[in-house]
Amino acid sequence: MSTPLACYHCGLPVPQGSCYSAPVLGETRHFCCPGCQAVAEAIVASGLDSYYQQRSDTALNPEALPKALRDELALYDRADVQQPFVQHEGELSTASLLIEGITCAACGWLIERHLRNLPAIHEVRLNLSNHRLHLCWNAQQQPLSALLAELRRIGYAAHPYQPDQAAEQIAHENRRALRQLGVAGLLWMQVMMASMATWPEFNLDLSDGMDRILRWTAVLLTTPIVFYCCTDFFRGALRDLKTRHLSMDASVSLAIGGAYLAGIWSASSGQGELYVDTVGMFALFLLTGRYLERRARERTAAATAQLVNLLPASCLRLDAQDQAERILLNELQIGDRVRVLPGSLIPADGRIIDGRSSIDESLLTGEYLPLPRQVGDALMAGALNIESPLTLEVQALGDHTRLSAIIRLLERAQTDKPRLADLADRVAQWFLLVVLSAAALVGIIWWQIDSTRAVWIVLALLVATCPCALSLATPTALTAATGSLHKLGLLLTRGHVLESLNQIDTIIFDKTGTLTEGRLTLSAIHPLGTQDSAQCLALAAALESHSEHPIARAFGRTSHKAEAVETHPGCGLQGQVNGQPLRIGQPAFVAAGYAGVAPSIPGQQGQWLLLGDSQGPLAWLVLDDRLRDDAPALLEACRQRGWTPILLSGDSSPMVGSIAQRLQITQAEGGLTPDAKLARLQALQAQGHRVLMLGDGVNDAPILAAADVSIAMGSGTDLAKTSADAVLLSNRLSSLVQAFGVAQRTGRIIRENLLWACLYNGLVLPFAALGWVTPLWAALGMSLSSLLVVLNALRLTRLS
Amino acid sequence: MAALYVLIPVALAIVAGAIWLFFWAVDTGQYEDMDSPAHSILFDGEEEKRQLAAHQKSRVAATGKPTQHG
Repeated sequence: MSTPLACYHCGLPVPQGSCYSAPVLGETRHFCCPGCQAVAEAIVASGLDSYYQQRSDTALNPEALPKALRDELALYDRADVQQPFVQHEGELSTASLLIEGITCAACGWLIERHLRNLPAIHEVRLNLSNHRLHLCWNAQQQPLSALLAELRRIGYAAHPYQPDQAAEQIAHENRRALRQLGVAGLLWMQVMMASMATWPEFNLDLSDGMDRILRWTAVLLTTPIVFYCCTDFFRGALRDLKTRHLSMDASVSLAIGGAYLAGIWSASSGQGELYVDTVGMFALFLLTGRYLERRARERTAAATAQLVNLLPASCLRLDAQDQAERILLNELQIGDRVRVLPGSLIPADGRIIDGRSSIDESLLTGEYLPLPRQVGDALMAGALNIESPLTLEVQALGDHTRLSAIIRLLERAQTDKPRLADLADRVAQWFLLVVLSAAALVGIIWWQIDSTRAVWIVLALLVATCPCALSLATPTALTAATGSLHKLGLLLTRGHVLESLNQIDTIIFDKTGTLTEGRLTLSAIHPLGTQDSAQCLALAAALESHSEHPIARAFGRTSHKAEAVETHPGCGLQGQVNGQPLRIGQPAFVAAGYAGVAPSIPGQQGQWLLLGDSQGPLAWLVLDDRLRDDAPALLEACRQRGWTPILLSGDSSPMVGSIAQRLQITQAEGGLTPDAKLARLQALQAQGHRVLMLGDGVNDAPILAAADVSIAMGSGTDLAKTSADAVLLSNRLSSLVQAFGVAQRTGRIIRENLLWACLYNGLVLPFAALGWVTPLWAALGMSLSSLLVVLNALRLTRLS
Repeated sequence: MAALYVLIPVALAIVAGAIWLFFWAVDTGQYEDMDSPAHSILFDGEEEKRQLAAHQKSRVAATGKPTQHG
């Protein structure tokens, strides 16, 4: 059988019978949907089709981007909306935007070239590492909404970028750290040149005056390193003294300070060995390690900023003449009448005053089947309107909606979060005590034997056992692991995740959207008449393609065309295909079409739709939520690690039980409110279990905040993503399985690094105590052990 | 060895200059984006090659023989 064709633009499979194609690079290419075809045609029309030659990855399907209607984009031209992120200088306006949909470097090239072709553009620059677009254009010639529409045409969505205080602070501190690093590196190399000349191993015949000059030069060049580059270490050491909690900073400060002061003494007295080059070396190695960590954290923060959708929330308000006007959400008042179209989110708590539809509350409560609502029913802010337009009267806003009650629960849960201790910190404390007591002991012993050498030997001891490798051990491993996890699609937003993952013994799953796909798909077709499943599906798809609601996509696309399609809210759709009248929807409605009796619904689970023509019923079509294909593999991986799986869901349908059975989860509960889920979690934690939570909806947010480690699905709500410790950007549960493997390897490599660092310091200690360590050996030993630690950590960047 | 009396101050001056240059680079954001400049050079190079090849092809098609040097 032939393998399914892949869409030329986004790589998703092309459904059978679809007719979307366009010529690209001289050949006719096939696409999976009209969105991809339109984007490809726009790219070719701009003359930028070499994008397809140069890209290293498929593009994002344009339908995966958040929908923005033309009038929503027009909101961006309003002065009050533009004020936070656009600056005006005469004719030119400058704006910073965050671009969504970038998959490889060629996307950056495509965006820059396409925008440069527009006449109003003055300057455009895209930063590929944080997906920020810097735009400078003539606002008189083209409004911002036109530029955003152009970006949409080539398949990218742009959001306003508003750097918050925290991001600015991080950027400022990182620049400072880079300056310190550069100074340390440049000066250290000069110091090394000057001080190497004084080492006894090289046996240079230096006159006494020259020797002094070189020593003083070395000390002079080291002074900026000590007072400009190492200030953070000294501040950390002071803090340690105040809190009586020893860390690496105390040990490093001792070695740096000691070596510097001894260097001054050695330069002024002309005797003893010069250890100031080790000051430069420590500074450079440690600052490099910390800088790489900072850069990684900055990248993570930039990626996290992209998670939250910054499109200004807007809604359609009806005025006294029943005209709809698009306004910002924060302009809404209680008592306003709002029109909610199919596919849009309900903007505020309210009561329906006109219309009939069904709504999807799965992101709020976990119930995945659409619930019918009619005039007089109450609606919750954040639910999704599915079937047909509704008019609602606003009754509660902002702080007083049910959504905010969940947010308050979340805030309380965040303060109670347990913290797990850091392995490296504990090793550091123990290590420091050993070194300080050894130094004191050795000092006392040598003072008795030969008091002139005592000081130098204690100094050599402190310098040689300085925990350079030890303080690089954990950060390098964590940084490498975070980077490779990001490539796998798991974004770690809080630092403790990797180490905590190795202490977990229980895992809680949410159902809707986490173990299942979270949207209704066609799960079965039961033909009742003469036509077979494929034909019935084609007829249903032809009818549904005219409907606006999100469920219609579950039927796929077909080449059949339907005419005279009418929507009967609450009942179904009616239309004609190939001259035959057809109805699909509620059994009673479809039965009226053939003037007969509606068959009773055979099954228990899912949403059952009947398809019928004027002669009789044709088929039952069952829409249901589908288990993710990689869910069983994830459960297997959890079991292999000895973790207890628990399923807690807000859904009260029988699907909870059937999924628990399929995945062999013995502890499963449905119909839980967020309060109840949180209570279950806290009961487990009180018993001493360490819990990992995997969820996506707003109702999961408090539990995600309170669990020891939590992961939110990338397709989940903003609230879930910001409450969790990590976000599964790829939505593939198989990435999680790989991530657990990486966490295990990281734990092992951190332990290996710590072991090696302690071993090295342990070996060097007796040599230093006996007075056999010279600056040359100290420098060599430190460099080699640090290099070994870093190379070991880099093993984590290999994904296999 | 007397040369060192000159060389050491020269080395100090050079280091000072290097540090000043480095500070200028960091403060003007030269190190902000390490990825895009590498890619954009490659892509623009590829684009020029492609346009050149397309240009050559159209000239061959128009004249019916390979381009000749004037």
